Amino acid sequence: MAEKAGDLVQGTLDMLILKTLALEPMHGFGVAARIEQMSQNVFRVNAGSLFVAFQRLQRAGLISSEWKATENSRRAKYYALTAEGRKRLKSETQEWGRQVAAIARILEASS
Amino acid sequence: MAFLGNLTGGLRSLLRRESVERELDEELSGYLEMATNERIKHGMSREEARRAVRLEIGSLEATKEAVRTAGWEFVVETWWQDIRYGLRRLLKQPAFTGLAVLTLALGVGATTTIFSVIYGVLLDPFPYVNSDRVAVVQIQDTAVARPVGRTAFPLQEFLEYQAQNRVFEEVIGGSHEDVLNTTGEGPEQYDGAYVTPNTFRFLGVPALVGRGLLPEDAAPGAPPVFVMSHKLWLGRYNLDPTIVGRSFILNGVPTTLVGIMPARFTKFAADLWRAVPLDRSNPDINRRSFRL
Repeated sequence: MAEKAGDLVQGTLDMLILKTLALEPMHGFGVAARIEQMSQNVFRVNAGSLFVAFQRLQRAGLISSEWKATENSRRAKYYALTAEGRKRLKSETQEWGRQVAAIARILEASS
Repeated sequence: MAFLGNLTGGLRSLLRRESVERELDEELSGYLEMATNERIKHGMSREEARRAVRLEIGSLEATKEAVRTAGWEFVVETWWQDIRYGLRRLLKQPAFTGLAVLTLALGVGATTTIFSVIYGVLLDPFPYVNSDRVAVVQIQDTAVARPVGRTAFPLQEFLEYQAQNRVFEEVIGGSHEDVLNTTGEGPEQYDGAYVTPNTFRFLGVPALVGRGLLPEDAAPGAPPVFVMSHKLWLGRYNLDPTIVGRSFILNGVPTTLVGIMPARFTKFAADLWRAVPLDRSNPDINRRSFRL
């Protein structure tokens, strides 16, 4: 699935964004940096995909946005998780766990 | 909730594009700046950092484009642009446009006309129940070289057909009559029709408003009632449903309007229908003829 190292598995970016926002409201760069940092630089987040994902998640009602001042007193758009988003994160995390376990079982069996 | 958010989000992009665009612009340049500063913090020079960021996230325009084209509204916007482009091209070539429109208009008009005729004549000629089993009888003297026979019958003869008929399930009849409606503004003349009491039951078309004529309406002593055509209702009464139940003075007799038939019910091409009691002893009715 990943064409080169650092590409995200398809469909997981939304989940990672939700997870990042579950900790605290964040602006776009903060989310990207947080994902890279938490993955210990395994994942690079493409800005284009990131903002497309923001738009998609916001329209789905999973996140909300608000312009606020950053710590450097610059204006930035902060995204926050909605109640709906929190629910979605929980269900996606469970589903992800199920899938990873299943894939692991398959790989172990065939090797 | 998700559908609604998607809808309003898209509409906002469509209708307030400038402000949405400006917001995205600001957000992305903020992102760029933070990414650059982050690298400077890690020891790059400003120039180096900027170049590295550019390299990494590609051009700002491409990112904006990706966000802009991701929603459903982009499809709408593209259509709209295509439509406007098409219209501009058409306006530049009025002769061609005129010809094309004329061709289309003629084509559509002709097709509609042909289909209306085919629909009315072949596909669904009558609105009546079991209209494929309805027959019209005429009596022809084979000694006389005339192509058509007699289709109207005096009451006595009609009643004999009704009584002695073994072929048809039911026999109906009726004919035109002029009806004067006396109103406060003077009399109006309508093309009426009198029909045998079983006619509406036979044709089986439900009334649009109120009810059709019932066999009981022709019973001795029954209050006089009539049913109106859609054409008269529309043309004279402007589709006013409250006229049903009102009393009209028809040929000097107060008669109650009990229903209005749908537009396709046009038996005898009449404006209104009244039931006629089949009473041999009534000289007035006895004089009438009945068309089957």
